[in-house]
Amino acid sequence: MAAIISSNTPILIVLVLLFSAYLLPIFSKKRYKIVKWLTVVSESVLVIGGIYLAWKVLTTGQFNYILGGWEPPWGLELTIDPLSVFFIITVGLISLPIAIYSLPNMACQVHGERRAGWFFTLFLLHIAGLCGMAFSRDLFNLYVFIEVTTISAVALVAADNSAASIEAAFKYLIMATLGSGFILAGIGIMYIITGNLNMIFVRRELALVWTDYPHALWIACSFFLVGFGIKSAVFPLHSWLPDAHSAAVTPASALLSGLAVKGFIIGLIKVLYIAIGVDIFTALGISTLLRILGMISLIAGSIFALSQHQLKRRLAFSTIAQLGYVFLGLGIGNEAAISGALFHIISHGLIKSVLFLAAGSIISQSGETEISQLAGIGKKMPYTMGAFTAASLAMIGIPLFSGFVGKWNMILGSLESANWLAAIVIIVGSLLAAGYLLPIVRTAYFETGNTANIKEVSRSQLIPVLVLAAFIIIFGCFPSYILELTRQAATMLLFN
Amino acid sequence: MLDFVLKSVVTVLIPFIQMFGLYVIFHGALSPGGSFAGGMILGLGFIALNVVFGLEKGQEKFSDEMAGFLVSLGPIWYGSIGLVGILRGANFLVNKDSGLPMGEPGTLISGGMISLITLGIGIKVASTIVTLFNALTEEE
Amino acid sequence: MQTIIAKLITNYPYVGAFILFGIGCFTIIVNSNLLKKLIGINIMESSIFLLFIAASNIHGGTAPILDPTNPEAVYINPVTTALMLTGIVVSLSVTALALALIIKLYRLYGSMDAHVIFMKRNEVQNSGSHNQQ
Repeated sequence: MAAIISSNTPILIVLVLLFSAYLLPIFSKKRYKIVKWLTVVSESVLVIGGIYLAWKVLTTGQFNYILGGWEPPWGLELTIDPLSVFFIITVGLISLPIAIYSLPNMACQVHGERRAGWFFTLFLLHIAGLCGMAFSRDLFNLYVFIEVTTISAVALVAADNSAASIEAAFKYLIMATLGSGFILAGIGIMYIITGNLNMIFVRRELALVWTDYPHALWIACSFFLVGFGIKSAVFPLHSWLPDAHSAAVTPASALLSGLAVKGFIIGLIKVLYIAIGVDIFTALGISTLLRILGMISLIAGSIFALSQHQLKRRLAFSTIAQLGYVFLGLGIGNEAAISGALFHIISHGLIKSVLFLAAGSIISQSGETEISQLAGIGKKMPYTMGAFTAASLAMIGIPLFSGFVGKWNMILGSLESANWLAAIVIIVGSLLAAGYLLPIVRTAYFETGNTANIKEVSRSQLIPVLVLAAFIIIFGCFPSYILELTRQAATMLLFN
Repeated sequence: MLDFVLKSVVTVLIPFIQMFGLYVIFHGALSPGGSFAGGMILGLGFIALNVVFGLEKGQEKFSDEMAGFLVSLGPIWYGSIGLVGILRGANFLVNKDSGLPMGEPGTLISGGMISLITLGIGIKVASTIVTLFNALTEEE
Repeated sequence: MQTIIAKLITNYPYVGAFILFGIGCFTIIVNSNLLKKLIGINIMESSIFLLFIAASNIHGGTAPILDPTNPEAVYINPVTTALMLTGIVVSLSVTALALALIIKLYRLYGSMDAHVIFMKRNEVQNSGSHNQQ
């Protein structure tokens, strides 16, 4: 039995998530307690499986899992390489605390236990989609998992049935479907050029023939960039994100801001680096485009965030800015920068979920959504606000917090390739992050307001936030394990 | 009068529509068609019932709870069939090594687990279509 | 120039697919009616289905079902057909979700026009903030 589980871990992780996702609606009507247990158990399976796979990859190297007994290029295969296990660990570490946070009062937030059961179905489907995206090595399989992730994300935004959230969900659906259309068209062009869908075979074929079809390949690359760019909200294509992430219920905004947008970046990395190959897309000028997009969305997202007065909207705009870092790191494209960008994915996922969950706790306890109304809340909710402060400091990039490691590596990478502008933009982005996050902390601690009836949240909602905040500090002080994974992933992407 | 004609025609047609849906599902391994098309036809039979006789009558024959249960059952059935391969020591969704009878090529019982899998997807598609139709036509 | 035109004429399915893709995108961006936006999405996705199906077509080919009586038959590539079946399923689910959201928006705002919804929402927000003051 143990041998069976250990040789089939990747598919079992996805299957456990999917099975419990489909079992939840059956139980949600009468036995709501089973829903809670099933969610936590399947999330724990994801965490344990992710850590096991990471151990396996770090000790024995990457391997593939063939589905249905058909060898590629005929069949599908899952790939278990440093990149995918890194993202599986990210998904597990971030989504388990979010799930635990959302268990106590989800039924009241989405009006009824039946609907809460459906919420967790969508939650688990979303996570299964993200895991499938990380594992898949087939372009069309990737597309299917992208759609699973997108549709469940849209439904998660609309979960609480309020006017604002439904409107935001519709906007998100239109934009995201436009993005999927671009991605699918890009996959079609790649299939026409190469006749393959498996990424490894596509790259082998492209290396031989790409000089014959430079324009078609350029169109395909830009379609991928626009499609994934819409879904991961790079600056000019970001317009859906602030509405969707601020109107959703708190766990959903934490999940979408912390994980979903990064999943699409992982998809873009897989398409560009594994299917097309770093030499070809650099020759086509795509990496310059990535760099420019990253810088623009870093600066513009930060400036938009400065001008927001609502807490959740400011955090949503800050997501756009922080994704700019990842795009910039990918565009610089040497080993240090890519591993820094990947490290920033996990660290920003942790930071942003802490910020959103803490903001949700504050909003639910005080009933205020404006930043100026938060005066004096730091003394009434010390633990929540402490986690919020730690996450803010990490976002700015103070040493000993996790945000520092990724930014440091990206600056090293940009100096290595003599790209002074990128290094300056990264530092300016940190200063802007201080500009939009520290005023919240200052208002909460050093101003006095009417906070008589405000209490700290219940323990079951406090502990997940504190655990996530603890991970921020742990990864800031001891980044070596994650950094080893991201370095191996960067080496695999560049030199494989 | 129109109502009477519709009701009589649909009463006669529905069994044939659903029979055809099941035929398309089970012959998916042999001929064009398969689970999605067959499940769609199967679901359209129930939708015809809902349209002509009203939602209450439709609920008697195929209730929302039943549909919700089948929506969950379809994928779980698919996954469980895939797990047979894992339990017999091979990979997920393997066909021949999972030990199901392969039959003779060209006959109905051939292709091992494919008919079973298409049955699961057919159930899922049919119940999903009925659920979607009911959810969209529901009056508040 | 002539060679380009000749190429475009021989590859007319691809040209048609990209024209349809453009029409779909244009419809999504320009129309303010939510239902028309949804129709634009459907046009765009159909154009991609056309692109894939055209890519696998062979002139004079038959459906890829093994035919023992005709051993010299040329079969078209069945892979893209199977892929596009999945694509159609995805498109169906997106359409269903979008229709459900449109119905809810119509019940909330009494309109399917994006501008009207935007104006009504702003009115609600302004009056809400006015009451607070």
